[in-house]
Amino acid sequence: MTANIENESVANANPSFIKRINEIENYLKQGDNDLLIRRLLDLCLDSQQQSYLQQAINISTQFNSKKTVDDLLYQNINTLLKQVQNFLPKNVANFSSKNLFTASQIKKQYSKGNFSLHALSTSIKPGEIIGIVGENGNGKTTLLRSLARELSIDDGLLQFDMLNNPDDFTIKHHVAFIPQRIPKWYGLLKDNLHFSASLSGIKGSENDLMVNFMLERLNLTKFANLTWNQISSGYRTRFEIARVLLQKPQLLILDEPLANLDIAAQQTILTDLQFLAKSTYNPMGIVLSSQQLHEVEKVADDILFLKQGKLLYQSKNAESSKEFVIEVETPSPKEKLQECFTNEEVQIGFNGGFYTLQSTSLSHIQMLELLIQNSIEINYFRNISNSTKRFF
Amino acid sequence: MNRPLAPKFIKKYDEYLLKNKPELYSTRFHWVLYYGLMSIILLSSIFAIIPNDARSDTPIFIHTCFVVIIAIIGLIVWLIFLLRFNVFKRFGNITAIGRLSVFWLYVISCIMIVASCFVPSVVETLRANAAFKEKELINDLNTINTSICKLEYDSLSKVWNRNVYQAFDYYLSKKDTVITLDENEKLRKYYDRDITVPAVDESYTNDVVESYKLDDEEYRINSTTYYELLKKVIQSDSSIKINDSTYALYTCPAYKKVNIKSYGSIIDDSSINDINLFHDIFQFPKPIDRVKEWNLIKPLLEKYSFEYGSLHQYEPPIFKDYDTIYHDRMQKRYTIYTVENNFRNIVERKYRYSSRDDIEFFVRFILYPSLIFSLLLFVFRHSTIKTFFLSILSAVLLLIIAAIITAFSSYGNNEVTVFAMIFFYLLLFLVIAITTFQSKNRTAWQGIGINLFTWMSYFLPLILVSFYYSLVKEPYYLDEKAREVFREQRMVNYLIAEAVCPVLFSILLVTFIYKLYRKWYALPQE
Repeated sequence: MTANIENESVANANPSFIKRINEIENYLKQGDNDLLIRRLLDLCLDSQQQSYLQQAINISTQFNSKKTVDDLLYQNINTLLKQVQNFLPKNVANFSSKNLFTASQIKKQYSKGNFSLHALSTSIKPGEIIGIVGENGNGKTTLLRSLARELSIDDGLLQFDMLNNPDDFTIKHHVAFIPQRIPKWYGLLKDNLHFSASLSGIKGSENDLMVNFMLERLNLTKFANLTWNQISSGYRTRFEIARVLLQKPQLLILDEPLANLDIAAQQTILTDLQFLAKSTYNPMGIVLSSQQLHEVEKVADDILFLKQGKLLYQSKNAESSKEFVIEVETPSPKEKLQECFTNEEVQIGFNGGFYTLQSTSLSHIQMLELLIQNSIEINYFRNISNSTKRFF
Repeated sequence: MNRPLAPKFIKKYDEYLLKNKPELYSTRFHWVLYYGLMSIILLSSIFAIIPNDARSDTPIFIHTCFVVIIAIIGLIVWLIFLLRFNVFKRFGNITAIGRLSVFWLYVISCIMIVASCFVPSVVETLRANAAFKEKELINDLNTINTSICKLEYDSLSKVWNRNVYQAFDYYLSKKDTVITLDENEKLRKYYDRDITVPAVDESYTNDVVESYKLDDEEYRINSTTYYELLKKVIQSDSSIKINDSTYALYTCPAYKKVNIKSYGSIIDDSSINDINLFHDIFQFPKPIDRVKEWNLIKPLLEKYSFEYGSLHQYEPPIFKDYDTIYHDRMQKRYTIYTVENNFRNIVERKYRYSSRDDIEFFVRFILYPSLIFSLLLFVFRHSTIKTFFLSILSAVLLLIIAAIITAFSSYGNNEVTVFAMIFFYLLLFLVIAITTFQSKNRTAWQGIGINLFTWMSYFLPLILVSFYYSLVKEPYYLDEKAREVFREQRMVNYLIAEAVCPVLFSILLVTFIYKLYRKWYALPQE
């Protein structure tokens, strides 16, 4: 990251930056302040100018202390945006040139126990997110640990194309794996972050800057001087993410990162991961497993559904479904629902909580219309025609 | 984090290391050195202030135990802090200098902790040196001994002890039958066979004759027997040559009443001895002013009659005959036991670190535990917890196996068997460790091999030299001088090996051991 600012014209800037500035200006106008601050921090990080990043951190600190954008802060944000606009980098990371890793027909069987992960292939590019879903005990963690070289594979080929002839130590230096049960940290949380940044080559004043950035970016500043035992499991996950991000990994693998987070935090973390993956400062690929299907599907570029160790569905390779499936929550009994679709071929399933309505002749909107026409009270509705939810 | 008594500069340095040198930061050496130094200053101040008279029996054992407990606590705290950050286990890049620095900083930190255990004894020595000068002690000792002899002139024995020593040719003497039956009996008992010696002067026949054979194997090669006899003659207080091979050696009576021979050779060697006292007082006796003499000795006896805090009171032995009753009376009159005890206590404190041997011993006493612990620490920081403890268990089991093999070894020299086994183990661990380079999975037994090879490789030069010298015995067939040369050469070779150990280990660490750990630790698990 360079410390000196050179004036260059906006014309030289990468178009994606112009788009992002416009996006931030919109957030500012619409009052989406949380998102505004996070995106401003991302923008300043990608500008690779320490002074801009420092200003963005200051703005974020001011905002977090008041939780509102007053006139002065508004002015500061505008000034910073103008400054950034006048200096935007021409060169941005190439997101699509090379795979980070390519897994071809990889298999894994434990020597003890009878579980085995059947042959599967996948790959990921910088900036992409792969979501791995499936019921418990179906091989998600095994797959993630195999990809992270925590576990050896029995067959197939796992290539880390991003690295030139890497040994396992080099691979693990560039691939960060966050397990579901995060090992305990010792000492101050902030010291751990400084240490992680330092061991990946971020030293001196840049170390301070990057740690402060990460704390602000993940909204962890107020917990920085606490210890592991003083924070909740949700914040532990966030700190662990902050720590591995400071190590500038090229591939980030997370096992159930949303398990300990509240609903709002789940969404925030996922969008943060999405933004950070596409950061030009350190573009990376993310592989994550989760039970939060809808949240993951929103951000993932590819979804892998595992059932009993087999890859049952991969969104990248799948054709769009010919069948329409909706999920409905209603106090009405099943018989009343069946009455709505007497002339149509609709299969109705009930799992105790939701009704699942499947049809090849009716679209999801038509099914919903019929329910409303028959005065069925609907508390919740979701189209899961293209979601992996339909496999559960 | 708030750290007690930590000044700004050390906090700043800590922060600098955290943000710039993570591998050095993770060793926490700066805190060990800082708190170690502070502890040493504090402990030194405490031990300099607390009452501890140089003349009293030393409480050093209790003081040292107290400091050892503090050092162990310090060590545990350091280990807890060490657990927090580990660059290697986070797959961080460590430079060659970083790898080397980390290990040697462990050693320095351990040295600081171990060395702090010597604070009480060093302070005690410094206090004794400040309180009593060498010249003062010699003068006081001489004055006391001289005055006692002057005051007790009439009562002290003037009879010199006499011993006759004879060197003889066993085979020659066998032909000669001129020897008394008594002498023959004595020599038969001594040599466990019948032998004869040439007859000696009548006046000496009542003496105990110690004989030295001239014709045995040892004599023929290096004349050791004769040399020993001459040495005795030279060292005797007085001697008379009876014939070419027989000497009567005389020993001066024990005039030196306050004696500290076994405790402080420097003081004792420099002070007046029995023969000096004989020449000064008994050879040409002069009249003395007893009052003046008593006034001279009295303050000195009071000076060295310190008994406060003495842990072990000297109980004078019970004597039965006249001489010993007199001796007992003298002990009481001049409080010789107490005075002697005072001198011994002072000398013990003063000359604890005086000789080269003492210093070498203490240096090794600090260095080797520090090195052994640092190696354990290094191994722990580069392997998994499970593998580390399995390595220790394996080491214990292999040690037991080695002991059993050595005990039942048909080969006569146990030393050779021990070093051969150590060398075999080292090679075995090396082979196991090298297999890691071909391995696809991380296995515990490979980790054990690497751990034990790393631990032992530091001592490789010493193992080789010891193995060599267990095979090459001391040449007993050569003369004393040649054997001394051999011993000196052996000592030099051990010193060279000791010097080569850190150099070789550093090279191995940077080029080989680190690569082994890097390869093994990053391998995926089964």
